[in-house]
Amino acid sequence: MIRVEDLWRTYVMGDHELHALRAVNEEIADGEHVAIMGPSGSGKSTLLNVIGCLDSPTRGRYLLDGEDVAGLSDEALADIRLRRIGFIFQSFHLIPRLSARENVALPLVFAGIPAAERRARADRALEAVGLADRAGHRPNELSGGQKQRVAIARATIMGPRLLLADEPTGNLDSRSGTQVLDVLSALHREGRTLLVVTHDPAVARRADRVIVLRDGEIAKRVAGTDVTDLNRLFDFGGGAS
Amino acid sequence: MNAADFFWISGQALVQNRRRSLLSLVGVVIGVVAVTCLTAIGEGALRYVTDQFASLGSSIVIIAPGRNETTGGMPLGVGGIPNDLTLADSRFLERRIPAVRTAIPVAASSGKIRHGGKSRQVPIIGTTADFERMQKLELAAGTFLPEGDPERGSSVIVLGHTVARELFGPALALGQTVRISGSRMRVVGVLAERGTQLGLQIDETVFAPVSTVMRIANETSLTRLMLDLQPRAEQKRVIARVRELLTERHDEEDFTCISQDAVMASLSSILRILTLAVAGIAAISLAVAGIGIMNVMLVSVSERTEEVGLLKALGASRRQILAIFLIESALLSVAGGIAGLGAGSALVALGRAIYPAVPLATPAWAIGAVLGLSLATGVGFGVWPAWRAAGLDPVAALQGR
Ligand SMILES: Nc1ncnc2c1ncn2[C@@H]1O[C@H](COP(=O)(O)OP(=O)(O)O)[C@@H](O)[C@H]1O
Ligand SMILES: [Mg+2]
Repeated sequence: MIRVEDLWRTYVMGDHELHALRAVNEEIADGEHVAIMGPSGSGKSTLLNVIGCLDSPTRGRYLLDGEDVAGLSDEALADIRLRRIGFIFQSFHLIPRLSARENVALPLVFAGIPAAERRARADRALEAVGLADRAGHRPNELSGGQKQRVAIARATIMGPRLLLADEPTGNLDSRSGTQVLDVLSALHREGRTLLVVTHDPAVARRADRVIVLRDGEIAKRVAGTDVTDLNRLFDFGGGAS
Repeated sequence: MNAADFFWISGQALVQNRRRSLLSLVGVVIGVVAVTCLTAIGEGALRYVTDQFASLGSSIVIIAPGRNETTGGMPLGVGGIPNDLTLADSRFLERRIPAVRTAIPVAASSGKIRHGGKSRQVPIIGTTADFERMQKLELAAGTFLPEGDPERGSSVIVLGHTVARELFGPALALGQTVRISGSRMRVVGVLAERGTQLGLQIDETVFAPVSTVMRIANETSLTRLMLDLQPRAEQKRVIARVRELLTERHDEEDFTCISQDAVMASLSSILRILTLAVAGIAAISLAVAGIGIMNVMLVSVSERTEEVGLLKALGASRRQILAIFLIESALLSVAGGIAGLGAGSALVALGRAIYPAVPLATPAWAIGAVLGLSLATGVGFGVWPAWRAAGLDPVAALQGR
């Protein structure tokens, strides 16, 4: 379970402050599928990074499964990222010199799992995303959709309960985007909590509910099925955008 | 994460940037080659000296007249002028100490040797027939000094190779008469070409019976008395016995005993210190190489900022990132160390082929030290880049900032 209370993330730029997140309160239950939407620069990635323990809030509390992460050491945070959280990025972030299998197995390396077991588990994870035959390929030998599925295999290899995807289909054409979303939906159906940052209404519609951010604040909460077009969604009644 | 995995990740990165990795190695290679070669030369010199002593075959104790003041005895003059070291002393010690095989008296002087119109200033060594055996001299023609009573100085002379050639050219020197400090001497032998041995330019020296030289030089004392010992005699005990007997005979300890062992020990220690000093200087070049490695690692860290961010997002701890980059720079420098050892050994082998006389060889301690040093260089100079990598903010790093 994720719970954020009065969460602020403030960047100090010279003599003025920029609030990427301001007073965010939210609770996400285990097994939920939540989409985070909002105009560019509204704080979506910042929120995801704080939830993923990559970034820490300037103010407020973040409780992960009831535990306040603020007091945790670097080692403990690394361990949370390793075992409890899986990250999926818009730009895949695969290491080009490593094969798909080796990329997938990386978290297992940090977990100290022996090479033979790593290989077997990486192969199984690749099979689960339909890429068993690409295990030995380098990232530059894979299509965008294949790369993202390798990244998903990597994010899930340690069996985390929480998956965080920051615009996972942002760099993909709609067909491979759909494939990737199908894989994510399947992972959600297995019981994982899934948080997806997206611009795409089609992606958001798959979610149970949608959080809409605006200038670092939660501006709206809607059901996934209610997402139709962005203009309506991002019309906050102020008239500006 | 176990050691092999660290090596795997670090090694992958190095192989990826082969050219840059190789370039950064060059500095280490040069430093290690320098250490390898310089210590090989030092060790070679040491072995050369040792071999020279060993080539004497026998074990020798040298007695010189006069008290060596460094040992802190009475100042000269207080106990009077030291007694001469005489041929009688020589005979006496040879008889009284069973461990002494032969006592070989030496009177060193110098003078002008003339023949025909030519002359030359030469060192003159007055000694006995035994000197030939002790120094393993070889004759090109004739014989060395005659055997017999050293007190009876005949007017014969043995010429070093260069002296003979300069005075007589290709002509036969044997049987000819030369003048030396006013005395006429008959040439009975010419030495084969020899070169320098223990500081004595044998080719440029002439040899005559010891009492003859003492007479010519108007000397009453021997310059040295060399005791050629029985093969298994202990030099220390012989020296103690010489001290005892000669002090009693002279009423004071007005002479100095030097053992061959002690000379060799001090020569060796001087050479060792010299070797260490040059190796130390060469090792400084490793520090310079370390800066090269540091640069390469800094570039590597900034190029792989995104990767570091990713590794952190995937669950790598600060410590693991630190280890990955430290191992990377250590791998670099140790690879450089091994390559340098290979290149250095090849150079040393080449040197040995060119100058077989000097037994060049990199000592084992230097090999160990240089490998240890290159490892230390890599780790030492890798700390800062690795620290920077470990300290990167994952969010910024993922965006390549
Ligand atoms: N490192 C940073 N320094 C300063 N400002 C930042 C930094 N990272 C993000 N921001 C700002 O914070 C705001 C939110 O950014 P972000 O969460 O990336 O937005 P989104 O993902 O919704 O497009 C933006 O105005 C952005 O410019
Ligand atoms: Mg973003």
